[in-house]
Amino acid sequence: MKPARFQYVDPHSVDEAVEFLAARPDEAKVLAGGQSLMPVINMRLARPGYLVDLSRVDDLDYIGDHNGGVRIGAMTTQRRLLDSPDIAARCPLMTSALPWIGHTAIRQRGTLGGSLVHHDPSAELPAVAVALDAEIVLRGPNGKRTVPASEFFVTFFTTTAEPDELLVEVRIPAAPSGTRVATAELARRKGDFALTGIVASVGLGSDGAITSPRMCAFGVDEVPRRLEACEGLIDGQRLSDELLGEVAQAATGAVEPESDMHASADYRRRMTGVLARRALTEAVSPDTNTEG
Amino acid sequence: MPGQADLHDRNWVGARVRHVEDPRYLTGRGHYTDDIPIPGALHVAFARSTHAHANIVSVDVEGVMKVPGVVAVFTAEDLVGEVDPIAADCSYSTYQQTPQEVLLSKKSRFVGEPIVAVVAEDRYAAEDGADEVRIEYEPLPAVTTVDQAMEEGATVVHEGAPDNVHVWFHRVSGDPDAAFAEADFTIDLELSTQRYAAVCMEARAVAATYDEFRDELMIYNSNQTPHLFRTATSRFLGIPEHHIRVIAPDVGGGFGQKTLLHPEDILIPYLARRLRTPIKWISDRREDLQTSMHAREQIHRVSAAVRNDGRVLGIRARILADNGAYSCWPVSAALDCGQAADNVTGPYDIRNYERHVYAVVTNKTPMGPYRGVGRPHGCLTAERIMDEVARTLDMDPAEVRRKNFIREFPYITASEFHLESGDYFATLQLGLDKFGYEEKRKEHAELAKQGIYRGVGMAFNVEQSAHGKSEWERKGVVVAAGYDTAEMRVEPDGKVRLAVGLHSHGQGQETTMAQIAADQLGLQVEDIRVVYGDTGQVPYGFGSYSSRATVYCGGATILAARDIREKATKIAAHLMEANPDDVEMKRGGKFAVKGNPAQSISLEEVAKIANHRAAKLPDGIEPGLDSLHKYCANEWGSFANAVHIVEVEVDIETGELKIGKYVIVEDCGTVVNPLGVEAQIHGGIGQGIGGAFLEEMAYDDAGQLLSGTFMDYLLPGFTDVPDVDIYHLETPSPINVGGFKGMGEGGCINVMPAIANAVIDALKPIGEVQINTSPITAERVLAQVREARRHNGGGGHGNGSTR
Amino acid sequence: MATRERFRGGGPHEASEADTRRTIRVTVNGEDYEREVDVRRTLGDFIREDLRLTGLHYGCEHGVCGACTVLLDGNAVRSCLMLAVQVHGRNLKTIEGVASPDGELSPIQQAFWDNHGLQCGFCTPGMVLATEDFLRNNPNPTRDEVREGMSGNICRCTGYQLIVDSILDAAEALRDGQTGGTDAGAS
Repeated sequence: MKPARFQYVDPHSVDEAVEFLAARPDEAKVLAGGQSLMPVINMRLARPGYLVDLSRVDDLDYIGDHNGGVRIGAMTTQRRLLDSPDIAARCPLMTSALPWIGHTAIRQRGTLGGSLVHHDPSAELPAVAVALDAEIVLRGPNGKRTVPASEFFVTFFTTTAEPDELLVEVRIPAAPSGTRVATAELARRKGDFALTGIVASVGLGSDGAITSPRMCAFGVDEVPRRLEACEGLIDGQRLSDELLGEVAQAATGAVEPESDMHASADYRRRMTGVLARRALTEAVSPDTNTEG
Repeated sequence: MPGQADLHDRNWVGARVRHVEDPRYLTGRGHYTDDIPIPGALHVAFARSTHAHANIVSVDVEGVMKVPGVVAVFTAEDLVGEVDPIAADCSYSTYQQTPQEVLLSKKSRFVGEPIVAVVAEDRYAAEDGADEVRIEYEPLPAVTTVDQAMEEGATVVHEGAPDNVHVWFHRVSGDPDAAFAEADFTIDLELSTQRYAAVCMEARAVAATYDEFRDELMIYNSNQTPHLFRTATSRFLGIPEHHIRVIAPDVGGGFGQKTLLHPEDILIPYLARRLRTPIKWISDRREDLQTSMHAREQIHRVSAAVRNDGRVLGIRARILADNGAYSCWPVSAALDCGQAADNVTGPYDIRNYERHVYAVVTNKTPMGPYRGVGRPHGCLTAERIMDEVARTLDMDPAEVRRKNFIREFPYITASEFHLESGDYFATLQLGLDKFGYEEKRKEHAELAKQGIYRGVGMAFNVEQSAHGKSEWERKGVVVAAGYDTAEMRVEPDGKVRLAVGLHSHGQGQETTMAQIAADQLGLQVEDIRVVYGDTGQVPYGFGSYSSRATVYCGGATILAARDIREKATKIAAHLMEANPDDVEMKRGGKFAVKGNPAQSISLEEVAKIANHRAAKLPDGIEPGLDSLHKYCANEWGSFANAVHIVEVEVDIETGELKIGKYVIVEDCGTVVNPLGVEAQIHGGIGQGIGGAFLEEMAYDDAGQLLSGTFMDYLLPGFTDVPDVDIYHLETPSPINVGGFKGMGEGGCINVMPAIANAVIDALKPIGEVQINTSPITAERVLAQVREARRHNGGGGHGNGSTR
Repeated sequence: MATRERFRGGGPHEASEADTRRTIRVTVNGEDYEREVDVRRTLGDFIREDLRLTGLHYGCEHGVCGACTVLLDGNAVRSCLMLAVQVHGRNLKTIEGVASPDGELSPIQQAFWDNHGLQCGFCTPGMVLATEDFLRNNPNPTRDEVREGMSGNICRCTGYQLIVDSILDAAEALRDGQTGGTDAGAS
């Protein structure tokens, strides 16, 4: 399992990278952390003529402020995000989801940008981006454009990014103080891609009513599926067993999973409801940390 | 004297000793096949069949030689008259041989068969070359299940054969008809084990060089049985064995899979000899999952005749093994299903047993033995029957087992196993005590009221090991491991070189064999060097598999040491001018006159005289201090036993399982190194968990392997294998020198049935479920929960009991 | 099927600023190396074949088993998922750099030996290095934390229990200030 021949270029700036991609858009592949791309290259399922390695582009690795929220450079590694107190404070849902991604060595190299562009719908980070209404910033030969996460993911392994565009930054609004989060996931083994997953972020009013609910399902559709119907059911309400039952029902109706050798569509659909309920229960539980 | 534990001055045997092989692995100085420097070696990659069943219409390699780095290309045409197809023999009259070409000429019978071999400067270039091969196929209908393959009018995979059956047999023991007539009710079950595989961390690897000056073909191969591979190379290449040397160096796992011959094992040495250049083929993981022999896929359709007091009077079984396209060399397709059939009666006194057993041909990767070999299936069948009896009669599962246990030894089973010793009651009782069985049951009953579903399951197994020469004959095997070898030499400096026919690849035999030898000669482990894995250095032996190494090579080592002790005593006595009867060996390798310890002579001095001063030897004693033994141990085999008792919690919303307490009691005769024995059990548990929950070689209807990478073929990891508590009993074998019994496979045998029984027990408050299929996935458990709720505690569905 | 569609690519083209070979300089176990490599050479192959440090093993070449783990600037990475050209100017530690130059085992190696946290040894180099990374960030782990933290490394022989014992033992030894082995390559 050795890569097929390719030519290698490691630009030192985003401009250089974009320029290179623009010149040969259909023959080049961008190498970010390599945790998703290198297996495919080793297996010769991908045979790009050119590999554009972003690891020497030094202006893509940062965690900064964006109107109280965060702006994250595309090449920031998952391990760095997991260890970041800023992310824990302003983006606790991401901190909640990150430990579910693979294993330490994967997170050491895997990047936020790489995960979003690769778009495996069983992955956690695309779901986090959709749940939090993140903004995806792309750079192409004609300049920058910003795409809302809700529009960025098109279908399995496909996003709206053009072949000559680079994902450079992700912007996430700040979570209100006291936000409660949970990630619930079902997988054959810890660290595997989810058979079914839910990320949930809610506020809890002093009267115990839910505010600003955000829920997204992953592994059960061709894109991360925002569960607006569930959010509508719980917004302004106090959670009860009956309400959680309705949420579960709504969640199962909102997704279109596929069958594969690991789980049937029916099972995944059913589990969407179960996990939606569990994620909310965990999020509002008094044992759940509000500080990520 | 056979029949007694025969150990001189017990010191090392039984000690929890650190393994001498570990430091080299810990510092990265292991020498696995691909680590060995072979200057000038070229690498091979293959163009492999992409069709499960197809005629090969054309093979175009024109573009291959143009690829930079490619040196040569080979197709079947280039091998005509030079390389014979691999063909296993079996002595059963119903056996059909299924020759397997090393490079395909006309037809592909499973996805992954090699068609073109590309030789290049490195693996990268070899794969570039393989990319340029163009093959035209004419697809044929593929048979991918046993039912499909056995259907009337099914496509026959091997032309000329009347059907798709490698081999079958029908045996009747006792009087099953009478048993079923007497029965108060029957238990009918269909038990199904999925196809999975050994998946060693080191995939297969072969590196060969041809030494022109010595006319010797030298082969490094990551395998467990170097002498057998030498025999195979000789047979299929037509070269005499004494011009071939096979070295199995450090090997990264074997588990039985690396006892089986694959096409590359023959082709790579052939290419080295033909090209007069060293050649390496290092399997990648995709090739490994696709083509290294698979295992385990069997269906057991059984009926047990049961009396109302819980006695199982008889069993009828129909056993179908999906053996894939070819029969494995050397043991043939008869082994796995035959051994499964033999183990169905387990530790129980059941003499009335009828079985129809089939090894079926399908268009899938060939199947062969893998750790456990049929015993996991036998255990699953027996232990599920016992629990169904318990459920039907509302008896405790432990009590049902006690009712049916074999009580007196020796005992010959319905499958002609000669069980030499054991105390199954003691094993079971110790397990129940250590598990806290009664308390756990009470605890579970309380928890069920709170909606928490936990249960206990048990599985008992008699572990057939170290099969004897008559047992191999009975299995139809004609390259039979009915003995093994120890050649011991005391060198002139008094140090010992011990060459043994086993192969150690994690079992720690470099240490355990030294422990045995050290005790016999009163030496330290550091004074003994254990040599194995090299046909140039070790007389013919059979390697390690079927849990045989300690029994055979340990026994042979003891016999060789005894000879040397006796001879050294005579020489020492002569040198001290004493009567040999008055001289004894003492610790530290000294020979002393009894009652006069000041008068002594060291083994080193004896060895020096024996090798260098023939004139000083007593009359009638040949020079040297060497001994060679080929030890047959016993006729039939040796039988350890073990029980697994496990606690499981079921999440009834998702079907997920959590394993709680897990207790194992193992009785494997005399233990050489407890650390090694525990390690084997832990390792077996890991593989048992993998088979019970995660691992599967899944095929689609066209015979394409769906689980072709580690993304889909799921190996158990740190968070999947629970901590287990292991307890030992030591009932020495009365028939093996040393009192040893084999145990290396036991850990994986009982896992699936113990867990299946535990899940069923946990869900009892909800209703009756059946767990008779592996892998046990959360989805399957949930389906059972939902089904049970629908029936709301009534009788099961499909499988179950008939009164 | 979506995967195949997406990744069908083109063949090699005329070189412009892109390279097929590069010269790299890298420090491995404290020693400096300079080599010319094919840009497609994976890091693990570079270490094994070009530097002849064969302790590292390839178990899958698609980033799942962890047998190929090395420390890059002190952090565990899968060398099958990196290219040799990517470590130009960087610091690597392989299993050969763990014991001290005079052969003294590190506390982790010693603990694995004492507890028999290995059998066939093929996964062991990667396991030891992953343990180094893990314990540096988790010096006092529980059994469950060890299992979770080490879950990126697969072993087929041991069933893991004795490896967990080894790692807890090593953690204690390191907390007690035991030394042995070398820090070369760590940062």
